[in-house]
Amino acid sequence: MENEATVLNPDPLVVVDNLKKYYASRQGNRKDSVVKAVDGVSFSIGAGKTLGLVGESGCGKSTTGQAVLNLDRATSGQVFFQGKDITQFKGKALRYLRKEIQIIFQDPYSSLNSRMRVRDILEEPFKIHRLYRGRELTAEVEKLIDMVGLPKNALDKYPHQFSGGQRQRIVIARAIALRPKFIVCDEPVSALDVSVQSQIVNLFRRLQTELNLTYLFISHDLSIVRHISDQVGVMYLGKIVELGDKQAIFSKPLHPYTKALMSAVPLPHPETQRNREKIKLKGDLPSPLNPPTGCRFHTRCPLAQERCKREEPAWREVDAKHWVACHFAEGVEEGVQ
Amino acid sequence: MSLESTMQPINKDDDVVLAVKDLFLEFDNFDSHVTALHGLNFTIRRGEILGLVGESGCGKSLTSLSSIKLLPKNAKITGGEIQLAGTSITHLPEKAMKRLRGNTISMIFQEPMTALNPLIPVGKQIEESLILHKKISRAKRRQRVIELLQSVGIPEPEARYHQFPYELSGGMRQRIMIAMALACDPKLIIADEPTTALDVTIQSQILDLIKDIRERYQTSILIITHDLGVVADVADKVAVMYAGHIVEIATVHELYDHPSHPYTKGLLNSIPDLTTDYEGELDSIKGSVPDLSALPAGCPFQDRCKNVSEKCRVQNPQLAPTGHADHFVACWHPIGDETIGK
Repeated sequence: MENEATVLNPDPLVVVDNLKKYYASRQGNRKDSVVKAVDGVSFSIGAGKTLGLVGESGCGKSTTGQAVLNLDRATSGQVFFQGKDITQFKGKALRYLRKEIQIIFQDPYSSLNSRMRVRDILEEPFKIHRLYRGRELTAEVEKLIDMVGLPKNALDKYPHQFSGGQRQRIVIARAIALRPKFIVCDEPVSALDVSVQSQIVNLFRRLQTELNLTYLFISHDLSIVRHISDQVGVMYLGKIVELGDKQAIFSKPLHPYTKALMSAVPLPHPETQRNREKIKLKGDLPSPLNPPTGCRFHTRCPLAQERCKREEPAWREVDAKHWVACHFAEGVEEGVQ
Repeated sequence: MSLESTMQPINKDDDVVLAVKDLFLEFDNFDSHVTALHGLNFTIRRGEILGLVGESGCGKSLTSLSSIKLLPKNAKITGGEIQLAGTSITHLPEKAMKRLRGNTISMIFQEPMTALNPLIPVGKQIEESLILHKKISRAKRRQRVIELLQSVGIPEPEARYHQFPYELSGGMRQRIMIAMALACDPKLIIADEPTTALDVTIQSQILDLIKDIRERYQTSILIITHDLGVVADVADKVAVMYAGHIVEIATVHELYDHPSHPYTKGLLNSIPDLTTDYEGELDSIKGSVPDLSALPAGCPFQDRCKNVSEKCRVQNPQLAPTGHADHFVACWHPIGDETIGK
């Protein structure tokens, strides 16, 4: 697996190589057109590290997460977990894999069965994998609920008796029950209130240290991604347009989209927010059914030139360990205004 | 903006567009009785943008629905007064209210897809309030709709007039909602989480449009949001709500530079900073928002507050001046002159 992204992580737990996920779409008279939801995504994540994946809705970040887990079979490309290509896993091997990798979804209201007590919810993974029984099982479940900061009596309640933040704690307890190595977190704090969000972000970080977890953290919230990630990938219309260490991405964004995305986030301070330099993107995200030619961002890019319409920019390492797909990445610093 | 305008909303001031005084709202359910709003006080002047912030369930949407009298049947205003452009609407009959809605006061909702009728072209939907409230010819109406579409930044307005909501993107739909709200030159627009369903790059376009509308038409805007960044960007004045109470109200710069209520400060501190790297734990407010039907006696924030004392458990603090101009807080132990490090 020759993958430039592995340079970032010499000893990666997860390597994704040229992952593609296409969906057939029958819309109107263009029969059997194809939506390229994820179109050639490559990255790697080191053990115990977090890769943040950011982008606007419809950019393919969630599809990437699901394809990486083999929840949704990739159209092409490979996903290596501990060196093995898991895209071809089936049956028993796939079930064993589910022990090692987990997913946490955005909405804690719909990801818990409302007819099950918390105890049953947390016991289920152990029962499926025939790990513990009787007193051992009870002890293990009690340990879990304690790890996510809920009291023991929470075990005998139903999901509806908890607030959103507490429910997300239960979801997290279930995800870490089998001590997975890798968790895909798909917008795990987006549905929560601000004051609760930070509690859950802190919990994610604490558990990462305690259990040596590796995260793929998918979010549209750049502030949270900056706080929790080691590396960041920025997606636009099914492709990663920029990838690198968090410091590099946030202090010196090379892709005009990354720069625009950052400047669009309103900062929670009126003085700074009103006086900062802002890049306004015109128009909306183009349809993934019919993405623009050349660079997919050229229709909204403030730096776009003729060349961008014709020629798809190469994926290149502009700074050390900092990749970008833009013809004019070197000019982004001065060029975008 | 004087001290009086904030604290004594009922006055003869022509500039006050919305005045809410000591508003109480109660819910009667089969088995419970909930006081959802506890004596709210605020005013919005002509051309002013007031941001109402708070977490889910704090009563911010109920406040907006009260202001336009679109409350659910089991909700009842049990005290206080709401004045719109000088006239009390607290006990106004529904028929009279209908003449105001979409005319003097209009509303923008969070989800433009559910707020628009999927079966009617968007141009026709904008026209509706003109048919109801303005006696103008069909041709003039049509012309006004095109003007409106132009003014909210929709390209090719003649073509868009005939399109259906599903043919437009989320950002475009929200622009249609804004055009509808603007149709009859309202004095006040209530925007309930107008950008929450949108992506950040589109959000920033819509926020610019909202600021632009205020500049152009001097419309007063009540913007309801949970996003402190959005408020920092657009609002002149901010009211922070918690469990049915306004716990702090101040001008936007004052509130962010000198948050006085521990809840406001907690909220501001719990947002990670986009502009710097910070490796430690984020500050957070312990616990979660209390159940409105089981609020403790005394201050509603007591169980989550670091500075809680005996007094907080007994007596509910009222909004009182902090000593800074136009800054009021409901707290027995407000935070002094500390500034948050930003």
